[in-house]
Amino acid sequence: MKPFTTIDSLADGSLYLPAQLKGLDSFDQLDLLRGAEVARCCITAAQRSDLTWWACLEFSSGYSLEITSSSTLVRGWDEYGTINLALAPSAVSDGDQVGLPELVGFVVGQISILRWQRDGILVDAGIEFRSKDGGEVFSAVAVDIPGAFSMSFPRGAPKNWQFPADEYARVDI
Amino acid sequence: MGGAGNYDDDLKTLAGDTRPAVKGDSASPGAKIGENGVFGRDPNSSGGKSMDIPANGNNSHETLHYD
Repeated sequence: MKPFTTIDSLADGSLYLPAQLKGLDSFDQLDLLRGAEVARCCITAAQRSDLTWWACLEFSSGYSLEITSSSTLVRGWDEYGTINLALAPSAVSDGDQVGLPELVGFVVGQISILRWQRDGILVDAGIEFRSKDGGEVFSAVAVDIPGAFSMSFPRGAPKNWQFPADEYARVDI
Repeated sequence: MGGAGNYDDDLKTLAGDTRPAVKGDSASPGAKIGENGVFGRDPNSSGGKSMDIPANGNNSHETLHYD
């Protein structure tokens, strides 16, 4: 994935900073993960779940979802973080990792992109999984540090997001 | 923040010797990172240069931009 995303100009003059995808032709293919159970969640060793540069979710179906983030300058020195999603049909093993038990056993129900929109700028800033009954939420959202993002787990609150949580809209897959 | 001095000099002063960041580093891919975690981006997404200084104690993360 590139360290920054493309900037698309929309018909209404808005600027759209899309998520970068790998192993996926579109967001719709994330539907493969609906109903899947998280078997392992890991981040780089020595990093924190609320401030990390890499994470991977491995599912019982065999798929893995690698999460990273990019940072793009728009209009001067304003930088916006976007989410990068790489889906693979097998587990990813890369470098020193530490497992996070909070998400193991989580079954994916609703999948949404978390999109921030203000002042004519739309940013695909994160991804959110809701459990089947909607009661539990996992999210990974870009923070205000280039290339970094924050994960929040069921029963945990969003932390370090680049903008206030109520400024993000859910775009359901 | 922006408009700081010379990127190369500032990076050498603040980061010391640097190496290319790799997956798992606390820096953007393609950045040059020092042992203390300070990293530079040359070029950044606008073709300029940026340097990032990690949070430390009461000081929050800071990004310096260079034209």
